Amino acid sequence: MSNATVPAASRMNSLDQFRGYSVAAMFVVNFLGGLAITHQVLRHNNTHFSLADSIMPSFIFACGFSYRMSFLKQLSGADQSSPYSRFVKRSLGLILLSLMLYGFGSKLGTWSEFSGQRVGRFFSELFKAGLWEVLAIIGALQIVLLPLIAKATWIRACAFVLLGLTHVFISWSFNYNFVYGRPNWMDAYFGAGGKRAWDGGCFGLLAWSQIMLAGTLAQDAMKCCRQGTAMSLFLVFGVGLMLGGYGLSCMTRLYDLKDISAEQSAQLIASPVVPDFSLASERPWQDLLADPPFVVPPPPTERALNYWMMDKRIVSQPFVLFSSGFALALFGIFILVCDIGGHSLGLFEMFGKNPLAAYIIYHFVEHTILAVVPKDSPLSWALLGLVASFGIAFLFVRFLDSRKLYLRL
Amino acid sequence: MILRTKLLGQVFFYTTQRIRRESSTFIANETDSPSIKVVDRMSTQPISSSTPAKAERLASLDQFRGYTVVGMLLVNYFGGYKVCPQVLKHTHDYCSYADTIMPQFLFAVGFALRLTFGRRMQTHGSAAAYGRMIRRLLGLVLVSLVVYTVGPRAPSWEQLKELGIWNALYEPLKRGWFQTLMHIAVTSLWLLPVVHSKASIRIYWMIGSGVAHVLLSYWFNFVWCNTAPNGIDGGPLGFLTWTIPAIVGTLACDVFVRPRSELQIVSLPMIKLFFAALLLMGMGYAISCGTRLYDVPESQVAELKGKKLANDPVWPTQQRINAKRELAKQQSGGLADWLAEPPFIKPPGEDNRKWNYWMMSQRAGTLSYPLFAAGFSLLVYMIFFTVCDLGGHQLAFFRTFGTNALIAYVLHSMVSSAVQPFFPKDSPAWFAITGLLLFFFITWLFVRHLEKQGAYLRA
Repeated sequence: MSNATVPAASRMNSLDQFRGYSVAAMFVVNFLGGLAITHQVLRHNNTHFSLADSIMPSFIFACGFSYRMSFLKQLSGADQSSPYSRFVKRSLGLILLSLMLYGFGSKLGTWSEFSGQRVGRFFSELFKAGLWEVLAIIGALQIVLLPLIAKATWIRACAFVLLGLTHVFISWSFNYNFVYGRPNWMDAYFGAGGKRAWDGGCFGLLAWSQIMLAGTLAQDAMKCCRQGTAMSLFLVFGVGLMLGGYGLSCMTRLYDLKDISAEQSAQLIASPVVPDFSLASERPWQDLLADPPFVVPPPPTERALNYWMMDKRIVSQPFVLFSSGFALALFGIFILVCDIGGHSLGLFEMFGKNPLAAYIIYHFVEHTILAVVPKDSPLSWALLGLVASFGIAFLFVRFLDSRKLYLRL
Repeated sequence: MILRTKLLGQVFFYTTQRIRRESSTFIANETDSPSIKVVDRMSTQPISSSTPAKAERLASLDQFRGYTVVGMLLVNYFGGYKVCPQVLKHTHDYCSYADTIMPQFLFAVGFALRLTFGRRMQTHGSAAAYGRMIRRLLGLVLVSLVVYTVGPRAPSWEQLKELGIWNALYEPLKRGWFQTLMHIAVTSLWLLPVVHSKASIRIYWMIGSGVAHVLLSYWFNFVWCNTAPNGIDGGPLGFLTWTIPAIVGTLACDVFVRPRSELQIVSLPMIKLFFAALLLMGMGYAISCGTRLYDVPESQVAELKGKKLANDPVWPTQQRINAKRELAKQQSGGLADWLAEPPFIKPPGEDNRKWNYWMMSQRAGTLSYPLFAAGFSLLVYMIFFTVCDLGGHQLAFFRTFGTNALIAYVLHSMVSSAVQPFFPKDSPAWFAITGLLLFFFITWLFVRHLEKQGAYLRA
C-alpha cells in the first residue's frame, strides 16, 4: 500500500475506468456466480464464452498494458538493471499474497500421517491446481513474460502465436486431460492424478500469457498512435480477434455426437484436441458453425467436450483469441467514452485506482454477506446481498482513497 | 473490593491532578503551564498545547503496541499446538501469558484515544471530534463484521426464512463477530462520553462499569458466556470490563505526556505508577481468591463430575461458604486454603474446582482478570517507557508491527490459516517452531512492505 499521490494528469483515465469496470464486474460474477437464480451468462460454464468469462481476461489484459508501461518507465530511469529484480520481487509478493488469501487448497493431515509421498502429493496438487487463483496467475505471468516485456512489438506478436501453438500442442499431448483430471502421461511424473485444475492449471500460464501480451501490444499502439487512431485500431483488431476465436471454436462442431457410430463417439471423446476431420466432409458449412458466444451449446451427451470450445477451465485458444479481442474492443470503447468523450464513473475510478485493495476487501465482504444469502435465494434477496456487499466494499475502498492509500506490490 | 478500588482511584486521581496542575495536557489547554508536544502514531499529527515546546514523541507506545501484536501472533498461532507451553494458551480459568495480550491492546487503545481525542477537541471542537470518533469506531465495527467471517447461516432459503433474522444472527452476534476488533470498537464507544473528562470521572466510570458487569453476570451473563455458543473475550457485554484496562490506559496517558524531565526512573510519578500497577494486580488477585469457595470436596468430585459451571457462580450460597470453611478446617486451616493460585499458574481442573465468576477468565471477562491485567499492562508499559523513551532503545521489529497494528491483526489470521495446514497441531517442537517462524516471517514481510511505503492503516 502506498500513500504516494500519483498526479491525476499522469494517469490514464480510460485504463483506470477499464480496470475499475473489470474489478466491479468481478465482484458481480463472484457474488452471483454461485447462486441458483443467476443467469448462465454471469456464470463460468467452461463450455462457452459468458460475460463472467470475459472478466479475468480483461483484468489480465489491463495488467499487461500497465506492466509494459511501468516497466519501460522504470527501464528508462537511471538504474537500468533494477526493474527486473523489482518485478520479480513484486510478482513473488503477489503469488505469496494469493496463497495467503486463498490458502493452499489442501491439508497435510496430522504429523503421524506425514510421509514423503503425502508431502509430494500436497505440493503437486498445489502446483497443478490450488495455487492458480487470479493474483497468483498475474504474478506468475509477470515473471514468465519478463524476458519479453521490453522487447519489440514483432517479437511479442510472434511470442503470442508461438505460445498459442505450444498450448495446443501440450493440450493434445497431455494438458487437456491433465486439467480435467483424466488419465494422462504427465500425471505419472507430476503426481497429482485425478485432481482437476481451474483457470488452466499450471500450464494455463502459457495461454494467459497471450492475453497479457495482447495488453502489452495495445500499450505499444497507445504509445505510438493518437487516441482516436488507437481506439479505431483496438476496435478493428478486437473484432478481428473475436472473429478468429469464433472461427476456431467452430471446430467444436466436429465433436457433435449425433448421427455417428458409438465407436466414432468413443474416439472423439478420447481425442478432445484433434478431431476426425473426415466428419466434416459431407456437412453443409452452416452446420459447422459453432453456437455464438454467450449462447449455451448442446450438452456433452450431444457434443463431446473438446478443446475447441471457449473453455476457461482449459484456457483454450478459441477462448484466448475471443477474450483478448473482447478486452481489446472494450478497452477501445473505454478510450472513446473516457479519454475522448471525457466521461467517467466514480465507482470505476475508485476500484480502478486501487484494484488490489478492492479485490482483497471484497474477498472478505463477499464471504460475510453470502453467509445470509443461501444458494437458492430469490432474485430480490440475491440482489440486495449484492448491493450490500458492493456498498460495503465501496465504503472501505473510498476510505483508503480518502487517505491516499493505494495497495501496490 | 470497592474500598480498594477507591484507594486505587485516589492514587490515580492524585497523580493526574498533579499533572493537570504542574504540566499541561493537550486536553486542558492551560496557558500558564509548561507544555509538551507529542506525536501520536495513531494520527501522525503532533498534539500541541498552547505553547510550543520541544517535541517529545512517545516511541514507547509504538514499541508497546508492537510487542503486544508480536505476543498476539505468538499465542494465536502457537496456542493450538500440542507442544505449546500451557502459559501461552487461553484456557479461560486463570490468567496465562496469552491472556495478558488483549488487555494490553485495550490499554494502548485507551492511551491513544485520550491522545487523539484531546487534539481533535482542541482543533475541531467537541461536536466534530465526537462525530469523527463515532464514525471511525463504527467503521471499526464494520471492519469486524467483515474480518470475522461467519459460516452460512442456513443451507437454503426456506430454512433461512424459518430461522428468521434474529436467530440467523444470534450466533455471530454472541460469538463470531465479538472478537478483538469489535471489543475495541464497542469499548471505545463506551469510553467516549468520559474520555475527555477528568480522572476522577473516568475512574468512577470504570468502577461503575465493573459493578454493572458483576450484576449482569449474576443475572445471566456468566452462564450465558459459558454456554454454547460460548462468548469470546467476554461476549457482547465484555466491553464493561474491557473498560478497566482502557481507562487505565487513559490515566497512564495523562502521566506519560508529561515532560521527560519529570519522568525519570526514580521520580515520584513513576514510583506512584509502579505502586498503582501493583495495587491493580493485587486487587485483581485478591478478587480472584473468591474462586477458592468453589473448591469441590473430594467426596463430591465423582458426583459433580462433568459439570463445569458452579450452580451459584457469581454470588456463593451460604451453604457453599460453610462447606468451604469445613474443607479448610480439614486441610491446613491456614490462609493458604483461601488463596487462589497466583496468576500464570494453572488452577485445578473443573472436577476439583467449579468455574465461577471470581476466577480470572478471559472468556467471561470476569472482574478479577481485567483488573490484574490492567495493572500488568501498566507495568509492562512502564518498562517500555523506561527502555524506549528514557533509555532511547527501540526494536525495529516492534516498530513495524506497532505502527500498523490493524493491518498486522487482519493479516495474521489470513497467514495463519494458510501456513497451519503445513504444520499439523501434533507436530514435534522443532517442526511446530519452524511453522511459527515461517508465519512470523510472512506476516512481517507484508507489514514491513507497507511500512517501507509509508502506508499505515488506522481505523
